[in-house]
Amino acid sequence: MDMIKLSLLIVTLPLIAFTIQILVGKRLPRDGDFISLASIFVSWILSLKLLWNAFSLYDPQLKITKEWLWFDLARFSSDLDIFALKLPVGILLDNVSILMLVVVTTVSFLVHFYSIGYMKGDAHYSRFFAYLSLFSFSMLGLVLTDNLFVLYIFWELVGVCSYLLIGFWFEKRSAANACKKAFLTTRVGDIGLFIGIMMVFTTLGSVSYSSIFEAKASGLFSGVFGTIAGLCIFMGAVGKSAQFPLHIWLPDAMEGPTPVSALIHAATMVAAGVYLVVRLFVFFTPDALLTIAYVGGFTALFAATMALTHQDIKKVLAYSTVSQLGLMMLALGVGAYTAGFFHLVTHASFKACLFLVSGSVIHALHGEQNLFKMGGLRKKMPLTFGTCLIATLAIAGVPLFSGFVSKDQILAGTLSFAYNHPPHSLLAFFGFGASALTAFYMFRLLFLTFFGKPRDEKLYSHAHESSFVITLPLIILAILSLGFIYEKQNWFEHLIQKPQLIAIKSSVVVAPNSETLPIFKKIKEKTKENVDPSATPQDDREVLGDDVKDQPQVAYVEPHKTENEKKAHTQAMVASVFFAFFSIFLAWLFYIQRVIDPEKVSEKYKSVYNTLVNLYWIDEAYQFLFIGPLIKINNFLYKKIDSEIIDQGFIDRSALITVKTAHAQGDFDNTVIDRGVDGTAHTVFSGGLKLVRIQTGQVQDYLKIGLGLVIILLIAFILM
Amino acid sequence: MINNLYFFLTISALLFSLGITAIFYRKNIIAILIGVELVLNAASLNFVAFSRFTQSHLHGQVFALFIIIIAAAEAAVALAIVLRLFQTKETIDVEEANALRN
Amino acid sequence: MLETLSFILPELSLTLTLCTLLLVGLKFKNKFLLYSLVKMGVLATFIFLVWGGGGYLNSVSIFSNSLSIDPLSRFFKILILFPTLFCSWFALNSYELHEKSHIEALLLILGSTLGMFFLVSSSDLLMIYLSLETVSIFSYVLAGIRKKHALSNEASVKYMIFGTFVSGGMLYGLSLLYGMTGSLNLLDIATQLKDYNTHDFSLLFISLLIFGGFAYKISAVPFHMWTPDVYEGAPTPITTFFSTAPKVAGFAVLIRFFYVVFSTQMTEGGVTIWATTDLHWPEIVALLSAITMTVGNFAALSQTNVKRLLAYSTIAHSGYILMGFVVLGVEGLEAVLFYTLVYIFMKLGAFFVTQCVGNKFKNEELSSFKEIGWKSPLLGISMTLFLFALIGLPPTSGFIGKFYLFNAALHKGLLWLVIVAIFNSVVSLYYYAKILKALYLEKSEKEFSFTLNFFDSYVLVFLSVAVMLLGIYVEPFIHWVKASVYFIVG
Repeated sequence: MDMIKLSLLIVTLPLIAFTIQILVGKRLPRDGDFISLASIFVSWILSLKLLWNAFSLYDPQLKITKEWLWFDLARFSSDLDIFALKLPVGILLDNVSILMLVVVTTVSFLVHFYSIGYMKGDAHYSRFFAYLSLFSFSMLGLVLTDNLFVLYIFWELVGVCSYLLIGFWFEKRSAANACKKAFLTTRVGDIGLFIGIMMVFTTLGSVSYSSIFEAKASGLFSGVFGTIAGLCIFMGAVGKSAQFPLHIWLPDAMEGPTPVSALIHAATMVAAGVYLVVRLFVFFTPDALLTIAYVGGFTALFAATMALTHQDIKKVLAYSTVSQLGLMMLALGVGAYTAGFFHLVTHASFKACLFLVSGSVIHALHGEQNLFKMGGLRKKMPLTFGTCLIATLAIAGVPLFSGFVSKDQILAGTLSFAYNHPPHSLLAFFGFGASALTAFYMFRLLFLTFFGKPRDEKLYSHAHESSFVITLPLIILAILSLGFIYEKQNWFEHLIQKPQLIAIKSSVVVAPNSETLPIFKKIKEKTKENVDPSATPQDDREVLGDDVKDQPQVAYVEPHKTENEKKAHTQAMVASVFFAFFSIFLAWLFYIQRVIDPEKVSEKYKSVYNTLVNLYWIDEAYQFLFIGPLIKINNFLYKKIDSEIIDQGFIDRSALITVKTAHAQGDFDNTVIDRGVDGTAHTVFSGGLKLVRIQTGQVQDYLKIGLGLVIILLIAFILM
Repeated sequence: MINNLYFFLTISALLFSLGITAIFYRKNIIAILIGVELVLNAASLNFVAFSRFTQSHLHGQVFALFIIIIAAAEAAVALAIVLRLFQTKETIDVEEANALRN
Repeated sequence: MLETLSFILPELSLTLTLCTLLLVGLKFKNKFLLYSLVKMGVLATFIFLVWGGGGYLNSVSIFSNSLSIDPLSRFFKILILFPTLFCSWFALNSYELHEKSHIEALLLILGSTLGMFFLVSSSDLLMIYLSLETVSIFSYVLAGIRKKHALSNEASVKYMIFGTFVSGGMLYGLSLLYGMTGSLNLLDIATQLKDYNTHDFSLLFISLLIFGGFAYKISAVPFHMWTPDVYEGAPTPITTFFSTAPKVAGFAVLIRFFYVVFSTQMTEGGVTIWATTDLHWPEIVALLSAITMTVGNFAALSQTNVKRLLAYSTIAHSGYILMGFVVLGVEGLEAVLFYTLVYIFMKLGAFFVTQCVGNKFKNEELSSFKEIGWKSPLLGISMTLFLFALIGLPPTSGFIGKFYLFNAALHKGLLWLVIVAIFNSVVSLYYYAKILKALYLEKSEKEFSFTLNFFDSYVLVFLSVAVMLLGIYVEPFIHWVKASVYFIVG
């Protein structure tokens, strides 16, 4: 089976599982969980097979595409002048998408497995698995597609899955509100993405990556227009990857079941934004990239500070996710392409591991999520502790662990960027600050949970190590968080190379690097013969067709390290190791030795502490700046327009809302979002109500209105 | 004066307006149906007059015959429907038929 | 003579089915027997449509040029057969129809179909009027088929009063048009009008009167107001029929009438333009289209009865389809044809789900839809698909259809209309989502289980597959549409 068919199978299997689950899931034995599990397992194996193929080819320019025509509105027209309009759908397999496939299926499979234990006995067990399968399907589709349009479809589908899964326990009011908030907040970003796609489409008449890159290489999309288009697309990524200022939904999304948090809100879906930026990396103009870097860098530091004071274990992890995603964006923004994607991959495993650990702990403590009620769990849950330790070391950036490898590259990237562009040194500060804080708050979490004396004896006494189903995924993910896997011969840096976009004649093709890991050498020889000739990289030219041969092509050029980069690399490594250990030491002083009392510190810097606890009042600011005025405008219109028509009851209600709005200064989240939505709906709704009022039920009125309109039209167009 | 197209057109326009007025303002459904007949007859008259005064063929007159047939069919069905309404509502006031609205 | 008859074989076979059904229905009441008769009749008609009378692409004018048998009319006839087939089945299974009414419903549906067959191929004012009245009169009776039910009777009365008024007005317009041009044949009228130094006012007045007659059939503003009332009052299968078949037929005759009468084959830069441009006719239709979709969508927002909600959605969709009609060139016609094709299946589906729920709870209120998605997953999934298609979400067929329409309008430079349409689609999301929310996210107060019988599941699966297929495997259908349009575009 060639790789395209394999990848198709990988995508469709979860879809089939979803269909079976949703239709007959409840009637199957064990509520049909094995179907979802089996489908994602097979997908996982197949994507490992793809990775194996990629390794055996070991070619940085690996690129296999296949396109099908979805529809072509112009094909049969007798009229040649007609606006040529066709939409192909296609699959793009290269090292990035294959690696991403592996990441998604791995985490997804482990989470499926974990959920068997975690969700046991839930009322909607089969529904949960159905959603998980649907999510896997949409995420895999998002990864594999070769054009922005299909990407947008899957993008929305992923959003819907997230909505469904955050609100999985929709009986809980907070969950119902959180899913609404998540959906609406990401929607703000999606509008940007949509506008961006439209900008591309109206300029090119096509939305496939290859045509976008070609156009870019030929000089389109440069200048202000290109920057705006790029930033619009980036807006989608801001929403989905929870970057500042749209980060507010992610912590609330923790209302969903913990496996969901691990799968969607830590490892995969939120990475979709980063993935989008990776995919369209060459599309962004330098200005756009700089903006991305600043947004990412700021988010990284900003979210890290918010994670310092939170007491809820999952929310700490949520802010940590936001911060790490910010780091990835920062890396991409400063041009450390490989590092950014690398961190996405390593982050997926250790963050999933941490979330699953938190799930295991919460499970053991019967739903308790407050860090300050935990403690001393080390002895009771040795496996969970061990895996958590590894993952924490990884995220903190301690050498020998995966996080160190990738984070070190990011920091080196930012540092060398700062050397090359001294005015933007702030970016390096963002990077180092965020990673130092990361080490601190992660160890704070670790110490509070597993060390010290149990703070709540009752909870502690009931705690126990989780079952095998729960711990096995933890162990696997912990192993994946070890550094040596990624360090071997720098395979990652070799496979994922920064694409350089230059316009060249098609005859110049950079020769693929033939260096191979020793163990793969033999296989490479073998597969070279077996691989379908149409699947070799040279062939993507064929996809484009003969007639475009003279046009400029996209080519990848091996980046070479400059003096600055080498210097930055050494410095970054030293500095990041130092910061990591210093922060860990500090955390140790704070929470184990109690040399410094956290409470005294927070007392002393009360204003800072309060700001952090209240998350910089961002939510409140949104309420003040956007939602409050929106409601007021709504109410104003509502009163003004409707007072004559709508009866007293409605007016009373809107007045009530106005009064409430004036006084409401509490938490943003739930009620306010609700009201914001309701307010908008009301405006539209009242329009609807008025229209309906014409429908009196008197048929003679209908006739009069009809004739009246005809006469109005007549007069209007006579006068025109 | 009688032998003039405009005379017939005026009459037909008058009939049309009267028909529409009846449809708009009479509350009795039978009266509304009579209004509809007036409208149809106005059109018939138009057809016949045009056929007589401007054209040499009989298409218009044939059309008028068909209109009479259609009007008869329509009236039969309409009266049956009105009868049904009367049996459920015990009235044929069109304003009473207002349960379906908004 | 016999050769001429061979061209109306589909109509003849429908008539024969009708007569057979009438006779058989006197003695037998078995619904499977009756339905298989309908099925056979429809099948025979379909075969005659595709292979009879010189093949699909043949076109000919018969009966002193009053009927035009051509690919365009064949396209619409094939489309109309689907509602006939499905609604007959729906009617036999509805809780609202008494067993005694079954045969009546079938006969009336078939009769109405026959009328529509003539309507879509008529190329003569007399034929247009006669077939329009045939369809209407059958429809009045269909709406009131629940004889003892007050709402059904009220729907029937309203439909009748509205219909007779509007067709009277239209007839008056036709008579004036006849006087102006001296002919009943559409082609003759077109040639006459071209040389005619028209007074703007009279021609505009006439075309508005005539347009009113068609607007009432397709429930477009300003004559849309009967739609919600009649749809709510009539039994669901009949409503389903009303919202699909006559709509399609109405669009067919609208295309034929206005395309032939007001548009010449004049091309400027590959774009067919309206001959009588000083009429502002495209602007009028564009305006009406915008108003229609807005009225439909906004009024649907506050509905709690799904049948009524879908009635408003029908109005909205008429508005969307009118968009393609503004652009009376190739693209516009293609878009209209394709959208009607798509529209039929999604509407049939949505109404059928409503009927299934209605059969269970004896009402079509939104509250009855609670939890259905979980109790009967097939019903839930297929309803989701139909609603997605109605909203126009990819990859369902509704998306392609809307895309096609928007593209046609954009091509004509009607950006504002497209923006209005997109805004409307967003608004429509809200009320369709209300149904989805009820299906999946709301808890029902009562305990119930829901099982579909085999035939209903079969129908649902068929319709869902059709809605999806038209969205994914589009090419052959677009080809079909283009082949059908080719005749009239020349």
